[in-house]
Amino acid sequence: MSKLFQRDLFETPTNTHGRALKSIWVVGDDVHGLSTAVAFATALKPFGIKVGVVSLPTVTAKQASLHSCNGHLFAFHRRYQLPERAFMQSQGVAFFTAMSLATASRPNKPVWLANDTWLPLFNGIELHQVKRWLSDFASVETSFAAAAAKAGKTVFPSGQQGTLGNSFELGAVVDTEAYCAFLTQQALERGVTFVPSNDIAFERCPHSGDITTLLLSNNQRIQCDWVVDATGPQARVIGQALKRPFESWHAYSPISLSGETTEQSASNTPGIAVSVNDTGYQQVQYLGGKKRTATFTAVHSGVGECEAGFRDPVSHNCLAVGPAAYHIDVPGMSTLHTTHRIIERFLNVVPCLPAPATWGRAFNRTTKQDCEHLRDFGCLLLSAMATRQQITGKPWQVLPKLSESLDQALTLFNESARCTVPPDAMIHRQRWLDALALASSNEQAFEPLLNAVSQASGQQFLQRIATQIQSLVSQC
Amino acid sequence: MTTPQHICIAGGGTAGWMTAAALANRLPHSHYRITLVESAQIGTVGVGESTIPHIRQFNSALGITEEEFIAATSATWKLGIEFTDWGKVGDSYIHPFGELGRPLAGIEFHHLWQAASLQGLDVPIESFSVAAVAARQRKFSPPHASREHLLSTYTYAYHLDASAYARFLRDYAEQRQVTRVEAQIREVKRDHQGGPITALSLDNGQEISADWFIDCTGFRSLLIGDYSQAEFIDWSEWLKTNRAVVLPCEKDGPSRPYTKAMAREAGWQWQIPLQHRIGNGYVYCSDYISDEDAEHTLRSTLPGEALADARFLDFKAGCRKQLWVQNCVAIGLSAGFLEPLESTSIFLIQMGIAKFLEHLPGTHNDATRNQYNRELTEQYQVIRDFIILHYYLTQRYDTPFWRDYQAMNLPDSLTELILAFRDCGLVDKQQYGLWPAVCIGQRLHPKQVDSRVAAIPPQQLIGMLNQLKSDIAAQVATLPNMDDYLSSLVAQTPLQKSGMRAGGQV
Repeated sequence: MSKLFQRDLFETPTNTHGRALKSIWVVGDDVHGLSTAVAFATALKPFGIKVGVVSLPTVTAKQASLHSCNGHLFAFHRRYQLPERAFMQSQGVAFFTAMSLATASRPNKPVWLANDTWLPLFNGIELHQVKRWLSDFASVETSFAAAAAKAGKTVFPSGQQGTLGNSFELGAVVDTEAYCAFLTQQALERGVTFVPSNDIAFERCPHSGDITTLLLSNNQRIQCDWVVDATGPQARVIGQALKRPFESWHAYSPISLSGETTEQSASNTPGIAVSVNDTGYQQVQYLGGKKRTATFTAVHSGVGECEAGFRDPVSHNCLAVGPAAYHIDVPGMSTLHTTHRIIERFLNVVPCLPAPATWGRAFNRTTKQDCEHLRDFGCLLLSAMATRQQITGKPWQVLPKLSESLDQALTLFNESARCTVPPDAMIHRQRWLDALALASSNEQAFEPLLNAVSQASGQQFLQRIATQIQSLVSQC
Repeated sequence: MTTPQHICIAGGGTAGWMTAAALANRLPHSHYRITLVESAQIGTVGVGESTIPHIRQFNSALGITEEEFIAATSATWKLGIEFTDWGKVGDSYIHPFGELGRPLAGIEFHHLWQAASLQGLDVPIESFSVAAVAARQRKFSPPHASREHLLSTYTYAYHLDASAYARFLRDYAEQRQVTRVEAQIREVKRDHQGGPITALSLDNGQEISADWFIDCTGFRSLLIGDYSQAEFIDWSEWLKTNRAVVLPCEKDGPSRPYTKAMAREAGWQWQIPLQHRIGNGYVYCSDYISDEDAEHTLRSTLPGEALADARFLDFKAGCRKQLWVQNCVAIGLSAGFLEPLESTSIFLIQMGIAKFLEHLPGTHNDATRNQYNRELTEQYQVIRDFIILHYYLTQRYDTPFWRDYQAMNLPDSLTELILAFRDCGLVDKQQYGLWPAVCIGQRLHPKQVDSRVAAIPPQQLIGMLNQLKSDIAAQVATLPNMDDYLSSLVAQTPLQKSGMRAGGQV
């Protein structure tokens, strides 16, 4: 940490900004880059800041074909005025409210992880505690989102606060290609300039090291104040040009996407189904009359561009989004969530552009915390899956390592079934509770306050919720 | 059902009775027995006569109405804190509770204000805060319910008689089956050296065994103090004040709905207006001023006639390394001390209680205890940094005390935050949303303003801000004077009618 000299604090500012921000160029038009371009154009164009995209064919070719999102996708659309009707009509989206997770030991009895955001309290005590306390009632369905998914029904939140019909967030699986087409159209409507190029090089300021000019394959030169690196794992700007190192998280997430298949299917089952096998897991989603299967394999060492890890997203006058800065495979989730949060965070620091010397450190730290949150959640699921696979006698080659904070969280949950994830966390607290329960080694722990309550009242509470849910599902 | 748990709270006072009341309210009596041991012979510090808005959540959770609380504690409302002479001698600003202006298209208000000021606007930033404008005019009314309304953009806390609050909560707790034992603690019995506490031996011959012990014995830290894990982490390197002289006085006129924090030669002086008196104190560092001079300074600046003899307090800024050890949890001054510059004493008690209830111990508690300790110590550090900020952002060179502060090395955590604000006005609104008022109030202006502001024509920007200022002034003009509002409220309160009013003694 640099020393602060008190005498330097009180200089009177003389103008509004030393170097005004006039243009931002996004290098790469993958789903992360296009999302960034649309958001920036919406938020910054009214202030005369130009947004452009350099399309690089090698980047878009390497995208994952599907992204599983939660409420953050719709929040992003609302915030940046993306028309929901056009999105839903883009034929590239399927909705879900829960993910099933089947293990080899119990292939026909999957665990359901619901998109719950709120569940009723019992005398101020969380519902999952009551179910652990009354273990005979653990199988009573108390999640509307899970019940609907089990019944093969797609439901939408009712919008009425405090009701079971509004106790979850809607998830959406989007087809990357279709969604990129949608985002491109939205970007064009917002005045974003698209420039194709087969390759790209950069000129940098000899003093600050900032990127000053983009050099395209047709010899075109583009001056830029800020660059967004959306070039995927190649990290053409933040990694190759600016030399920010990549931190491998393979030990925490020893999983690699080993293949994707698509086949025609008459089924239109809503939801995401994960099935664990002796090499890793498969994730199945139905979208647009097709069954998409992604296969993930647990491997000993990181495999090139699929390796999980993190790189500081801000350096000099560059912001990296997507796999250029973070790559984490989590069942039923996409790093688009991280990108949406980065965009929001970046728009908060626009006042400080272009010099990131001060805020860059905090920005990178906070983004890393986001990525660790996502990584730890994925690690928790992987750990639970790996543990269950061990029971079959055919364990994975390699087990995920728990980070210190995750280990603390799991120890706390094992001790008291408590979770310290706040309600406004990136991944919702209710989902953490489900994941912690899945990974927990102690099913006996529960909130001590329950010792003072009669079991009959707890049973009535659970039954009442189950009845309401049955009624709601039958009406769908 | 399992065997009922017995929780013993050592020490009354604000921390002890807040803890007893909250536990009695939340924990089922069938399963939790609560005993509080206190002695009238041991005085209480009576911390926290000035509060922050979180206290309203505490009262609300206990089902205490504002009317009964105001009447029982001689409380007045508080819309913020006025800091005078902090940046430079002659300066004055209010740190208001609530919003400071309104952002525009994602641009934080302090950027808009600074840009407009550089282009000719000559209006202090506090004129864009409803709370600050109302406070200056001694007006008060609860915020408007509709979020669209300008009068919904503030919140409030209280000035209260802490001893009366403790007495009020004692009644509340005793009505909810908390057993009060009047005695002094002679000995703390433990299973073994460093082991769990088994019982407290009292001077009346009684011995109180319990499953859990809450140490609310103040600076004496009778229970937690013996654990090596609870070593006191000294922060006096950054917070130099170590003494206070306290002296209540008569009221000087209409009540002010804000606390005054006036920088002095070797520290700062508070004025906290209650319904029937004004609380005063001078917090200072004994290396820079004698007790006599400190008392003289305080006496010579009292707004009214003194009502009692001056009382001196010793303290040291810091926090225990672990606040929960074995079956002992420290809450209040036994856990740590931060001077009351930002009125956080009761808040820290409240946090200790809330976290204890959140992490209520069960059969096994290692992870629970670690989590409690992590969360609480982090909270103390955040407040510590915020208080240091006030001392560090000064251009006073008139006394050795202030000159020494300017040469101080800051904690890294604080340096980063100050640099972020200085360089570009960046603030983490989630955690440090209050910073702009303090930073700008003490003349720390961002070197650069959001470049998006350049897209707004200067006259349009100044016009927008002038309009907002006028709107706020017009809305504040519709509010009643705080004393009038107080009179109307107290007149309706049964406690007042029945004569159960606090404040009879200082």
